[in-house]
Amino acid sequence: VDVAGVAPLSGGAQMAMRLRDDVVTDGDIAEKILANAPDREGRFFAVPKVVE
Amino acid sequence: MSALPELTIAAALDGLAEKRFSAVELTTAHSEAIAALDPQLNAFITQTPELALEMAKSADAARAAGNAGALNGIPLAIKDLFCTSGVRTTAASKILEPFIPPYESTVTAQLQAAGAVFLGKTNLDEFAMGSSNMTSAYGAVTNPWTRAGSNAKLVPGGSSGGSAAAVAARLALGATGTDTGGSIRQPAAFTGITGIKPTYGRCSRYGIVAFASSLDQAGPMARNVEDCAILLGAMSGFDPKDSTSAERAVPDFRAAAKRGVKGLRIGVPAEYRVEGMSAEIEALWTRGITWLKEQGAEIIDISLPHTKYGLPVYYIVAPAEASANLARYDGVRFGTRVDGEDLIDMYERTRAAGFGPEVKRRIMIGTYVLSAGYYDAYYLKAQKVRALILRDFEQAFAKVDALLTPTAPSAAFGLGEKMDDPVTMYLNDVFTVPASLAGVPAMSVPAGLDAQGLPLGLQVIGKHFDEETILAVGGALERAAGFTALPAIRAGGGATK
Repeated sequence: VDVAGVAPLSGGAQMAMRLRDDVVTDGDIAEKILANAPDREGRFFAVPKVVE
Repeated sequence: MSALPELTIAAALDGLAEKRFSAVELTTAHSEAIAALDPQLNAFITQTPELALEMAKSADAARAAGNAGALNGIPLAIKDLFCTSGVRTTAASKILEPFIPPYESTVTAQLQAAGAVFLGKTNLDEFAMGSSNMTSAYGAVTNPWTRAGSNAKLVPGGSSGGSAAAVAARLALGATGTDTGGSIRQPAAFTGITGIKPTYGRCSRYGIVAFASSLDQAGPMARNVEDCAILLGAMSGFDPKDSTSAERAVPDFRAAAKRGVKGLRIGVPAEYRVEGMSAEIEALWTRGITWLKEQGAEIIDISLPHTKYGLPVYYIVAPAEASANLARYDGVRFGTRVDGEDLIDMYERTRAAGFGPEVKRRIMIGTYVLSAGYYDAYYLKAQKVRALILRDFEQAFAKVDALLTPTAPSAAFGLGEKMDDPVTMYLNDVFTVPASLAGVPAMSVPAGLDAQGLPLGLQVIGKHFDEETILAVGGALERAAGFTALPAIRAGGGATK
């Protein structure tokens, strides 16, 4: 296919990216987020040790 | 109460409004039908009859208080790709087996707000990657239809195969699906129901497990065009939580379905007459053209010259996006974890055990086409050809109001067929993928049976955000087709095997 001069199409949306105000919309839901954690320590996700 | 699952959504809404039955009775009839028939179909991954009963009681209470929403008391099935707060959401993958979302997807939240009742979460191809439902980690779905004189199990299509089978078998009045390259339209065609992939941006993607973010779109599946229009109205609308959600008013889709096609220009794309297409599909297409002509539409031959590049472009773009989206499944924050010797080993074991073969294949294709040495040759090139496919549609829609094509190149095939070569499976999407790449709306309407008694669908493709016209054309096809055939396995059908 000849694509010379064709701009790549990255998305299906027929619009420009929308920006929203830089404000907090939710938060303080650590327990909800951690409820699905395979392993946790306190309010943190736990993973195998990564530093020697 | 065996007749309740036979109702359309429109008729059920009337019955509820006239107090001929309650939401509890309607829901109970469906939960009983699921309990009786789902062992044969495997359309549901998770059934939630207790929750459904609670929702039905709330719906009845809301109606008694004069607060009945647009879908008050209507029992629906939800594809297990929509996050439902407090109800397990698996995406048909082992890697999400223990996942209970702490939040609700926007589409299901809107359906709930309209008063709908959720019967359970339906089966699908793993992460919606497939056209047969064979890739689900929770077992294949059986199509409620069978070939005349045969008990051979057939696939319901995919990826929204559980939703399609549930609606066709009268286990739900309607269902949600998602469509990335045909995942609503192809299973709708395979099961003799109606399904709409709306314009990209029409329904919020917030809370839908992501496969390919520039293509994924939620849509309704139901037993007729009007019911799909009713559901689409409740599912659509602007959502600030999805950056690609369109700030567009939601039109009266139900009224649009009744408009008729007089004076509409319908395009028939020459390139959809693909090599090896069965004579039956060809004949169905010709019949569809005649039906629209008879109802006053003008038929115009058009060309979508880049159609043949649709599948290759799709199978570069979709895996590329999937490989990025699925990087989040690492066993750290949610989902299944397989312990390892160190962090990297834990990631590798988790992903090796959690993903099925088709998902792994697409992640590998995706990482390959995005890798430094091949990005320009594959991914960037595919994005440029995608722009040409969109241009094809834009040029066509300068001349016509909608397009008519077949939905799929064949009727439903047998469980386990087409599994040897992934490319054979990918060919199922040849007619549905181009509309996905262009982001335009499209729907499948059941239009007839093949010689073996299996349903076949016609596809109507429309302009961006012009679902109203495809509903008008779909409605006209439906009236002309008079499709009344029923699947072998269905609630109230008495068929037991």
